Amino acid sequence: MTYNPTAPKNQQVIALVDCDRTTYTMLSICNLQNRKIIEFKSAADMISNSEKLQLNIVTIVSQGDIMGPMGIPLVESLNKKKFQKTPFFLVTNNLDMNICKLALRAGITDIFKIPITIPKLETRINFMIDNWSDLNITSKGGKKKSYAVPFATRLFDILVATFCTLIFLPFFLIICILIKISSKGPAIYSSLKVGADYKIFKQYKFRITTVNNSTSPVDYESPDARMTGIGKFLKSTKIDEFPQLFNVLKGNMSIVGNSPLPLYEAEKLTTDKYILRFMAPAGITGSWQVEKRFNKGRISEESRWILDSNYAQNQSFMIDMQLFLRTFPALFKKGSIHKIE
Amino acid sequence: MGFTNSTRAKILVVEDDTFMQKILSTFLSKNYEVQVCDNGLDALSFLQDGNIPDLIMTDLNTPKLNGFGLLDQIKASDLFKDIPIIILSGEEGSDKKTKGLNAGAEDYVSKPFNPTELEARVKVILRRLGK
Repeated sequence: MTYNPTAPKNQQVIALVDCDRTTYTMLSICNLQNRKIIEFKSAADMISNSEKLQLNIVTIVSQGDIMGPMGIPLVESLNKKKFQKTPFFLVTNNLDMNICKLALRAGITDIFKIPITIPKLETRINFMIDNWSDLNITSKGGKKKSYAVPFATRLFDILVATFCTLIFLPFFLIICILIKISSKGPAIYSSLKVGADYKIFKQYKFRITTVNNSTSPVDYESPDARMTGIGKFLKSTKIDEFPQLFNVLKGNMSIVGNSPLPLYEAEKLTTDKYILRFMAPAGITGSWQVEKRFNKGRISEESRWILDSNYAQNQSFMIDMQLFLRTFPALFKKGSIHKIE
Repeated sequence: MGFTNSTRAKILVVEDDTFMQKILSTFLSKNYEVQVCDNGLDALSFLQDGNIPDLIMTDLNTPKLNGFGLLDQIKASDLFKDIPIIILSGEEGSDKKTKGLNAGAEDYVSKPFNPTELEARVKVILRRLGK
């Protein structure tokens, strides 16, 4: 195949990013009203060529999982790079309806589930390009308030995380080896979580269950029969949470803040009343964990979200310090802080 | 604007006539959470913002994008195609009804309609979907 990303000036271009042969072939036999299809190997390739050759890209089609690198993370990075706003279509094998709202809010226009059909492609792509400027899509772009962790908090995070990592490193290595010995699979497990500013990241934990191919983050959270011996110990001592120190170092999380949430749960909180909880640091420890009444048993979801919102409204370095110091006595009280997660 | 987190079923009404909007939202609001869009294009951008209703009720003659246009877009979208649609239209010709149902609508109710019957039809569809 010859790689020729040029197009006559003003011709509308449909950019295919990292799509497979079938997708390309299907699109090339569609009637897309004389728009030119150009394939790009990656988003970076598309961005650089689009600038260099002044391409008039009117739509982007990519292929992969919604949460994978070609899905939501790609849309977000294009938004961040201020790439011109165009309809964004994703071709995917796995369409999980639980995260479709999240996909829409992130800026994915539509998803084509494989096997894709020509009428669907033509109907959606042509319509969205033709009506893009009239479709007054509000939730993306300018209107969204963004949140950045305050400098003092970040500094504290880095100092504490570095200090703890250095001290505990030998223990980490021993734990990793023990997990490896106890059952097959990686020592550290990651699951997608939503943190500060509604950013999605991979949260690290020590693996406490045996590996199961169909494991979803939901299964991971529920205490179940798959928990390993060492897993039980790590969970009860909260040591399984320690790898989050790496998330802190990477800047995904803070030491103190609202607990990052699994996607399906975060999605339920995108309402005016609760969205505020994401306008605060995402922390390893926070108000739920420290609140005494939490230890008495189940705290209702409602009051949990209210605690989070209150924290977001009042967050300050002093409050963080208080919560941080109160975490230690809370740790030794009975009850699991992650009961309802 | 957007749906709240309540557990009540959510209905999106697409209707340009303000009087009709008022009747429908007053009547349906007793048991459902109702949002109204003036035309098909507004309805699509409402969906595009991540507001997924449990049911859409649309007029056929709406400005900018009419009911059939809206139906085509929703049924061609893998994200929206499972949302059931009731057409609510002043036209009652059998060919229009056939066309609407073939385009993917769950039901076709002609105006003037009996609100109680309309609500019963809504209930049937939601019941069938287990909502």
